[in-house]
Amino acid sequence: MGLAVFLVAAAMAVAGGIGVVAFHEPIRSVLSLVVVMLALAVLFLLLSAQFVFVVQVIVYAGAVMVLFLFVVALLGPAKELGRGRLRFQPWLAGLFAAVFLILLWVMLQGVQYRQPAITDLHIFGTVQWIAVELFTKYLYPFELTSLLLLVAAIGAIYLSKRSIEDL
Amino acid sequence: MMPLAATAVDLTYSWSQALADLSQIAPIATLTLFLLFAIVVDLALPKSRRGDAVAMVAAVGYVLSLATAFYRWNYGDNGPAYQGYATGDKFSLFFEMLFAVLGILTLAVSHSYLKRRRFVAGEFHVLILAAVIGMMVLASATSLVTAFLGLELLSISLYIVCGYARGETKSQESAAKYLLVGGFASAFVLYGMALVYGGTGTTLIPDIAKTLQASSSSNPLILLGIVLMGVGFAFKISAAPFHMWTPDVYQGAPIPVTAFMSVGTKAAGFAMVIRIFAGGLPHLAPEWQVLLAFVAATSMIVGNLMAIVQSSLKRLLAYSGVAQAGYVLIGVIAGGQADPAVRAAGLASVLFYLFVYMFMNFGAFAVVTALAGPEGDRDRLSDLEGLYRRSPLMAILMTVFMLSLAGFPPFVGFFGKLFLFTAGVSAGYTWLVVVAVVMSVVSVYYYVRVLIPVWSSSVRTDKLEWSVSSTMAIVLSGALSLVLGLYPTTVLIASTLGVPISFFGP
Amino acid sequence: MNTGQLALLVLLLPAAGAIVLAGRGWRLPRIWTKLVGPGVVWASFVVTLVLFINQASEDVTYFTWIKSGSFVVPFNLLIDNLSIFMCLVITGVGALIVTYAVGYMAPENDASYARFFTYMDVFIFSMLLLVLAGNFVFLIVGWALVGLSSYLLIGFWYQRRSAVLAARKAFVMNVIGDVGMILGAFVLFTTYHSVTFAQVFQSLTSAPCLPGNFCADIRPIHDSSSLELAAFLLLVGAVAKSAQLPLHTWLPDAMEGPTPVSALIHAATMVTAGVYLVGRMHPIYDVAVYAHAAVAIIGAVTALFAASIAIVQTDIKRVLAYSTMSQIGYMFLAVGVGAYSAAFFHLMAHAFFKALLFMAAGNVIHAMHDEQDMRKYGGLFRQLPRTSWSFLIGSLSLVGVIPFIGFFSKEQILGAAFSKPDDTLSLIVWGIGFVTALITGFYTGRMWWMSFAGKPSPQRPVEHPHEAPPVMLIPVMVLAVLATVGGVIQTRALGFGPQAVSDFLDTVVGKQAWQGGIADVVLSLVTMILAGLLFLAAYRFYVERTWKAWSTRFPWLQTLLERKYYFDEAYNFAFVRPMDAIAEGGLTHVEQPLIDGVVVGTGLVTEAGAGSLSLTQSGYFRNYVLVFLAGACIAAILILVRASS
Repeated sequence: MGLAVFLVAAAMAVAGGIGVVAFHEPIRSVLSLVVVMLALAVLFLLLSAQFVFVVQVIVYAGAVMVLFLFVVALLGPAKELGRGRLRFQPWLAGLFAAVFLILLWVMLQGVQYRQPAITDLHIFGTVQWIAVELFTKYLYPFELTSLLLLVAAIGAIYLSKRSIEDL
Repeated sequence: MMPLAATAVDLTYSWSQALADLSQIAPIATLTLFLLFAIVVDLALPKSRRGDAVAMVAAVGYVLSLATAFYRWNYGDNGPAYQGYATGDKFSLFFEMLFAVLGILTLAVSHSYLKRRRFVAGEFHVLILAAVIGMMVLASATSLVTAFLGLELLSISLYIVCGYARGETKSQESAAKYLLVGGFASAFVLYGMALVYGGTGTTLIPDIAKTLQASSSSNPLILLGIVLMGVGFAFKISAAPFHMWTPDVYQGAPIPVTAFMSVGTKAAGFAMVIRIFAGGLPHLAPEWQVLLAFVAATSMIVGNLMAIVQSSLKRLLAYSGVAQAGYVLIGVIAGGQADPAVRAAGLASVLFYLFVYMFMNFGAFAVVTALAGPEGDRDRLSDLEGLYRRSPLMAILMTVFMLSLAGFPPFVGFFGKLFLFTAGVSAGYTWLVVVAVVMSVVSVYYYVRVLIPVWSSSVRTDKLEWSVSSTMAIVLSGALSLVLGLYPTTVLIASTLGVPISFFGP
Repeated sequence: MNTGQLALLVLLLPAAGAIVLAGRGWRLPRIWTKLVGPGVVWASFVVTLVLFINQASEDVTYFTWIKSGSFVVPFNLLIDNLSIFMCLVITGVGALIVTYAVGYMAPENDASYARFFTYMDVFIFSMLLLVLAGNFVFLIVGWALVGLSSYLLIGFWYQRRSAVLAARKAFVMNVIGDVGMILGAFVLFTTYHSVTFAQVFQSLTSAPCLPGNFCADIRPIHDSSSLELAAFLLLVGAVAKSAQLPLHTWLPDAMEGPTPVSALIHAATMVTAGVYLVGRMHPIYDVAVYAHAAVAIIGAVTALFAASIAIVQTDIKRVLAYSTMSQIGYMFLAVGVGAYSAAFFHLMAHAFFKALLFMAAGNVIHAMHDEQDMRKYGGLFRQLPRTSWSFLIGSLSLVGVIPFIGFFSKEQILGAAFSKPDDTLSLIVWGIGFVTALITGFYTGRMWWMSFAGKPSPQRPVEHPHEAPPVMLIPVMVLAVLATVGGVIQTRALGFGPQAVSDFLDTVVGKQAWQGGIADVVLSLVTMILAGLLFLAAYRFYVERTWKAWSTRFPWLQTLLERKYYFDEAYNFAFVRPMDAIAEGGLTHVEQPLIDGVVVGTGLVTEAGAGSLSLTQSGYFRNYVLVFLAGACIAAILILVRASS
């Protein structure tokens, strides 16, 4: 049962990812991204990460993607143009991707899987568990993330201002 | 609701523990404090005074951070902090001092540049501060998680400053290309880190080493992790064949940014490579040595050959940077040997070279920075024509930088290369050293090519305006390129001390 | 003061002079430059004399300069008879040349006048460091600094494009040599774990490491393959610096520099560094027999090759440049057959007479308002008597006529090669050397007769030239005297008399293992007579023109020599063009189409005003990703192969 759900969700995630880059109209790309997000959410749930599942659905698939849709709608239905200068490039890219996949597969032969470190699913993945982890063990990375977001915000403001006088 | 007691986590976090943790990352904490302060200053002051005030705050921040790091180097009890996610050991302090100095140099050079090109100064300094913090975090990271966050902090700040010249297509293009390819490389690194975590069950680098030491058979997950991380790291240090972004991004970005990146990302990238490969995966050294040897040889050959035909100084220096990354990798490879003496010599030579590379490479870019006019950067070789007449001091210093980069005695570049190559030979990678030496000969050709316009006569007589701060930065870089060559011992000792004891573990 | 302090003083005096001149030179009155520039070299010469008189011989370690694991570099100077001998030649002849430059460079403005003497002092310092260095690291530092300062000096007139190009050519060739040196030193370091000469030579000559003995970590000495390798690599350095085949093409072009530079670089110092190196490393070459033979062959071939080209040159300085190559070839020949002290005697003699010739030529060029073409001289003997006599003395010394010093030094080399027992190679190189000696007579004669004899050429730029000022004449005359009587200190070529130079140097380079016989002396005299006759014959060819010029009979030979055996063309074809082609090809076929190398605003376009990015056009960043992926594949394959092996 678990394997079946995994396979379906994973296939959807990959298909969605291909859709993001393959569609020429931005709106379709965004919608494909929503599919990816939702599929990932299912995968998180499969791994017993309930909190991350919820966050993924609400924040990413919900809020962030809606924002994306707004932006795309505001800018108008632009169409992506473009043609590579090299004819053989798509074939070459496909070839390399295939070779790389084969290599990954060859390299991953004979992997020994570890047993999960935490087996008590009553606490794993809960809000409390995550809070405790974030503010004890992962305190430093957590604070760093806040700094990272701050810097990203500053950069976004700088780049998106209409003119320098607005700053 | 489950009782939390069942998790058996100690939730107390005493003040003394907090202080101890904070003091281990004191240089980073200081700089972060000043970053926040700079944002407030930028908001509070009237427009006309913002730029100078933020620059002043940043300057004080860098100097204090440098002082803190220096103090802790001499008197601090250096050890892990935050449950092993960061450390204040001498390795991190060495790099923290390096990055603080780099911050000061960048500030000195960019201040007048921003004025000349009429850019907003406040955000620029804030973003550079953030990038420096990212580099420091990276150097002091002892966990894959922290390392990745530092990497992203530094990269995101740089994506934005690359596109800082908003009116210029070139600058925008540079930023976008960097962002896209940088994201691609980050994905590789992250995937690799995830596999290593999957293989060992921990993200803490010392624990990874312990786990791998205990397990006898080599785990395919770790091997694949090495491939993916190695590829991503090679991207960050702009080593071939993962260097393609370098010339384009260097050319498009405003010159102070290019100068900062060319030294900073490279040093931070090498800090990460050493931490993770030499510190976390010493037992798989033969595997990653093969990978790095391939990358090093390709970098030296591609970088040096492509540099020959460039007519843009930024691109020329970009390719020279690719080649230099190849030389430095020789030291990293030596740092994977089992023999502790060879190992120490290899890693110390990397630290030494990165430290001195900062001065010679930054200096060269700083001279080009001063050539820029209000309408844009001037970085063609012909823009250097008659520099001897226009500014004899700068002509002499440019000569020093070029000869030092070419690895010419008695400038410091020669000794840097000498240490790297000696380490490479004693590690048994003689073939790589032979490639390096032969390609160094090729490099002389294009470094000297830069000097021909500098010392040729020209009809251009326009005097260049040199601001006091950037002149000081260039003179300091030039002086150190020479003095450290004549007397390398102090920095060399520091480089040797900077290699942590933990790296010599079995 | 003890030996160590004196040696340091020898080294630091020129450095101090250079620093003073570089710092304040153009602000001070010119008289300061005139005093300081040559003054420090003279002072250094005096200190060297003190060392010579004290008979100093010591390996002084001042401090440990670098210590990094097993890599230890002390700062030590090796003061022995060989380095003192070299210092005497460098500072003595160097001081005369720098003094001469005071007059020669007088037309320059103050700033470039000071710049010139700064470079000269740096050059002398580098050369002294090269010969005094007691370990490979400082040898390489001095070696490279010599290359750098010669680059600066050759390109002194940087306004001339040809000078800048010549300087670059010299620099690149020299760097090839530096790389050979560095690699050679690496090989020795990995074999013997030391960079000091003393320790390397000691491990080289100490007892072989037999099984069962405790040998520390020093490998057995007769690891001859690595020794041969090291010797060949060091030879690359020596060949590049001494302008021997096949790395010789920079030297004639280097004549773009001011004449005192040519004198300093081509006579006293730089080009002889290769001979010094082989002499200093003789314990290695004595074991590495193939490399040693290569030294002799390269020397002999270069001697003949350069002398033949000198026949057709018309620029007086280029004739001297090729003759220098040829004479250095003799020195290589000598060290190659193991006659070390003979080589160093010729080195000294050559420093005397070649510096004399260059400076006398400089006087002529000065008088002719910078005209260097000999065909436009003619009839200068009457008008410039002092210079002409000096030039004649130098020429006769070069040809090797008794009693000038060149006879004794050159004939001793040829004698040593001829008389070396049981050695066919020595006989062959003697034969080449013999032919070269005859050609030398001819081209020297041509140069002298064309310039000074006959009637003034109708194209002569100056009708009534003036003799040079005393500051330029006196150094020339001093050298003329030395070239005339200097030979008496070693008359071994005649089979009797003193041999001061050999006695002095034999303690360091080892005594020549064999003695010549009466046959050598006879051959020496025959060589001298034939060469002298050819010197005179040149008069019939080029002044009286009574004998039909050989060039009309063999036009192909004339062309071959004028094109210098097509070496420049071959290098251009074999290295420069393929390199350019690879790089250009990389640019046009890889970088531009694949990576969109030149940023021309393709791809991502900024919408004007709004400043927002729009991805309306695809950027070529996808090409980066393609290469990235290819690289990742290679990396994965490498690791797979490594892990499965």
